[in-house]
Amino acid sequence: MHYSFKKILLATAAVCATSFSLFAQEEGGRWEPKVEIPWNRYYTHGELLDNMKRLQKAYPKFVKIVDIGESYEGRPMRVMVLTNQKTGKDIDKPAMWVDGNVHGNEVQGGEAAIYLAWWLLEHYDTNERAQNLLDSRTFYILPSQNPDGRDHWFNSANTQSSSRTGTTPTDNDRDGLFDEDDMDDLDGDGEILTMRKKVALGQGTHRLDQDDPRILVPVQGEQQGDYLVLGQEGIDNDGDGRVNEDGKGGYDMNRNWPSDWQPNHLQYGAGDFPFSYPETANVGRFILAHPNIAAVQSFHNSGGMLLRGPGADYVSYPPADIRTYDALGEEGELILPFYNYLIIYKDLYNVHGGFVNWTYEGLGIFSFTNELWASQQYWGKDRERTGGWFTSNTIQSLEFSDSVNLGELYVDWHSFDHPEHGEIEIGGFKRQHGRVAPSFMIEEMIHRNALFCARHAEEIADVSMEAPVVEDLGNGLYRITVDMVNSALMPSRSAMAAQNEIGTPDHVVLQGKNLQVLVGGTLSSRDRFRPERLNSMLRNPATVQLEGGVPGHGRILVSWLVRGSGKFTVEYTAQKAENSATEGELGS
Amino acid sequence: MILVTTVLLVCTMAAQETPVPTEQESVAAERPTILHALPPIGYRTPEEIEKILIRRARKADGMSVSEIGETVEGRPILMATFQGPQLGDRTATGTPEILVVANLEGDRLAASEVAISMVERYSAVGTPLTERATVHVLCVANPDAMAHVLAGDAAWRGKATDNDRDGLLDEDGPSDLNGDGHISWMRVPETGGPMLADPEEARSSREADAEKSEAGSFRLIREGADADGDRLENEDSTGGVVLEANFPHRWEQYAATAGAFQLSEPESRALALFVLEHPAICLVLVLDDEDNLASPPKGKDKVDTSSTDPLEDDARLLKIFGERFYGEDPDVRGAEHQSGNFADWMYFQRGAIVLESSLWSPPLDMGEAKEKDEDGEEQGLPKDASEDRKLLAWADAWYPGDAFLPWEMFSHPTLGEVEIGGWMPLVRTTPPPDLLTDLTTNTADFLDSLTNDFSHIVWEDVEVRALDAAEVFELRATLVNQGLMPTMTAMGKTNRSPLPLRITLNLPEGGEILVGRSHLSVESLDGLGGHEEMHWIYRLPAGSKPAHLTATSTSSGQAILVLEAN
Repeated sequence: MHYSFKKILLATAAVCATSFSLFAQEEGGRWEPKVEIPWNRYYTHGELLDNMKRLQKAYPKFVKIVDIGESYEGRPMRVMVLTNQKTGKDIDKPAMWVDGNVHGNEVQGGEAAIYLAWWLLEHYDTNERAQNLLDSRTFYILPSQNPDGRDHWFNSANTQSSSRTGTTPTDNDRDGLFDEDDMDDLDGDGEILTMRKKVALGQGTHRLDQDDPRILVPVQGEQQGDYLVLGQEGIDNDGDGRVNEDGKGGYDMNRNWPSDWQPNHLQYGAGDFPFSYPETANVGRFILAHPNIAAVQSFHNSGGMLLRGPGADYVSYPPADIRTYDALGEEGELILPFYNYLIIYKDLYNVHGGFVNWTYEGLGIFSFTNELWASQQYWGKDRERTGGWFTSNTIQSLEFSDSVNLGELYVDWHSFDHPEHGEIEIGGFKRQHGRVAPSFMIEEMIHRNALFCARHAEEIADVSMEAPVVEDLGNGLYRITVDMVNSALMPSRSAMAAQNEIGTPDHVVLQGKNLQVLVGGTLSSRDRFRPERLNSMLRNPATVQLEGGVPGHGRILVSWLVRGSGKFTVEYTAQKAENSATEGELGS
Repeated sequence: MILVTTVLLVCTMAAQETPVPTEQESVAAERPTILHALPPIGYRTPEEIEKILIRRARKADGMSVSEIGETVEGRPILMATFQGPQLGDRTATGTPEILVVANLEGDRLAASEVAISMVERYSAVGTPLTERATVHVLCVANPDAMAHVLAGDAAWRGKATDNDRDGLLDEDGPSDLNGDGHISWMRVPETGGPMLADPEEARSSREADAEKSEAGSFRLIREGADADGDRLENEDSTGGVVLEANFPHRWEQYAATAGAFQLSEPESRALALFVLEHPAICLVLVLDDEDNLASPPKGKDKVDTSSTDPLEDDARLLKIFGERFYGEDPDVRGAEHQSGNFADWMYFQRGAIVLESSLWSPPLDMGEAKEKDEDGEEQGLPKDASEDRKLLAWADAWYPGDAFLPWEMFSHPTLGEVEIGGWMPLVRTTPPPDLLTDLTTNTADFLDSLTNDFSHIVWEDVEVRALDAAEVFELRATLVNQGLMPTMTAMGKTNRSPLPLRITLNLPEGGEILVGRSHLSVESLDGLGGHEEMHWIYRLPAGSKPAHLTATSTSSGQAILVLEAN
């Protein structure tokens, strides 16, 4: 299977090159998109919606925008339904769901999701494969699963990692009060940075780096420290002796999905039950109502990863599905330099109740989470580390800020009179550094990730039927045999779906006016002379049920014994592959 | 149909008016001669219960009824509430709340009957409970299923499903083939099948014991045909998700009856949201088919995501309450814990004290051998007789000829000659209505008896000592739980869903805490005197207003100390 997949890749690459040269000739090498969207910046939620609206206005026959509900703070959640409406309704085509930004601070997934729509739309006329994707597939694109968290990341003071949560008030410190002790922008500079305090030598846990006093180094062995690290900017707002322990929200919406959901004491941030937040409930309702979704991508940041489940060691994935995942994952590593294809629970950490765990384990959909942006991309290479990971990372990050951005990404330490700690210093990296790509590198990041989605969607099952073979068995008895062929990598039903009876099986239905169907079923062998190997349908032999669907790059042979005459049709229906039909005639 | 109903009602009333012996008296009389009403006769419908609730709430002080949701078929889900004392502010009244949930399965008619009877009693004569606690009673937790059961159907609810994955919904369920008005059982002959007729009691079916070289001769299935022609009988019957499989603890992702996701059903979701909106619910009594009061579990020292047994500290409480509810060695046999049930969610994820009662089981000792005759032979059933035989002995005595349909030959359209007969529905799980008064009294008395057992915090051993002549004071105070129940269960301490006790020392203007914190929390105090000593040193200038030491809880009361400056 893997071999043939590579072959297809080469073939498609050739097609791509051809169409590009045609395009360049027509346009004289100049490319002017119909909708100009600067891809060197990040957008607030409202701006993302505006960009969607602009695309809809420019391409009304390809873009519909559907309201799926509101966030906790009342921001509209809108799915862009992307498909060529002329070639069929969105719900009748196999689909890919793409979202981003379930963690409010992981903003770039929003831009990547919209970029996918933009690129395909802008290339529809000139790129055969873009055309094929928009004609034969649907994309459901939700740029932000967490609009409140996203906007707070832009509009409020934050660290590199804060505003990950939604904003439903939560009592994290179990004192009966909600969100009463958040971080505080003490110096009013719009950033939440780190607090440090100089103390007498020997009383500190850290010392300043000899070469760069901006860097704090933890003391080791006999060394003596003269600095204490006091955590992120803030005070003890509620007088309980703890700082910043009950901030805005305080949960993780990517732990709020049904598969392997576990309560808060086992999984931080899980919520009271799956879909307990308005945002996850909105998304869940939409996805459950669209059984045509056959592929899922949910963008996060960062680390440069193409992640698949399981999220925890509670379930094993069927080998056939793993082969499909591996083929996609390996291609992803090629498309995305410095990214690694990894398994969440094995290579990262345990996640109970994660989104892509639900979409695959619960719904049988091949699902990835890409973690956008890898630190090697700052330099275009792996750099050697000096010292521990943290120190080394800080040194290289400062180099990037100092050299490539003229110091833009870092706030120098400055003194502040803290109400509880007295004289302290505040400083550190701004949120624009670390987890999101710098502005001049955004477009490459989102292009590669968006086009990985395009490749994922291209490999959704593509089932066709060969012309039926009719054998005259004499005396008005016929055998009709149809070859079902899947030319794509993904099966029309994942083994996970088949094994757990998720969704509706595929059906192949034989119909004809003058037809009496005696037996129908799939042939377990390709040997047409061994009819005893027919896995016959007990009920209604005209309808052959394919619980396992049609395998990726595979075939299924369906056969009937019939009496009758005249024309007949064979129809194939599937939830996650395009329906098709063929016809034949008896006794012709 | 209307005529039949009327006749049944008359029967019911007659049965209630005639003095009937209690179960124990009947046993003593050996062969009761009274004809008892066979359930569901004598049981009220969800619609009748709804009317009673609304009428009672209109009349009774302190009682209200709220519609917490609506079933798939549009029936209201009604919660009756008897308001307890109001303490403190709205967010932390400290008033404990208890929740009674009846008949989640739908076919546990006695549970609903006992619950509505308790509501009737509380609304008429009150309950001491409301001096301490707020009481919520959900009399009919699964109205659709209960209505179906009372209409002679199975306890199904929810949207039609395609259990056999043939594209058709609910097309092949059990049916009344022989037209006797009941969907009963079929013995389908099968050489080497799993079941055989008990050689000692031909009506009774039991599993063949391979170790004794027994060979079975039939399989026992519900009465029904192969309605969709797929060579399977009853494989796609009405209904979908089972409420008692739809809650988040041990939810089974791929079980057809568990739902598309946890709390996917309007009934389970309404109940769960009610619980989440009432964090002061510290004790739940579930009246259904499971029973941890009749056979309290020993408890484990650890729990995990697959646990069904409580933690040891909490199990101790179950033993105390179990004995109080049933006395010693009750002959009540609860069902196995179903994955995804309500009670386990309430305990393992919400941390409440969860009591379960199935209320009643048919006695197994009815026909048991008691004496030896002259030849030394035992009369009656031997002790090792099968449970089914023992139940038959009870049913023959209690409902002569009514509870068990004799096996009769029937020509089945696809299975050939079969026997149809067996147990009438409900008989083995539903008490004769004659017993309902006693069951209600016992349950309501039990709940009343909890009045003084709720956790209850007070300040004791309070000492304020001046450390100098001017303004520095030392305060020592001990917070004590005087109730039997802990302020938080061991499970609550594990899952951290309940809130700890919060202690605040408020000093007036000019005051300053020198040692100690203004805000503290105490995770939990054990029952019967669990305590925590606290200590502060503070400065309070002469002439200041008094300081306040406040202990706030969600469901263990509120304790406030006023500390004068001198």
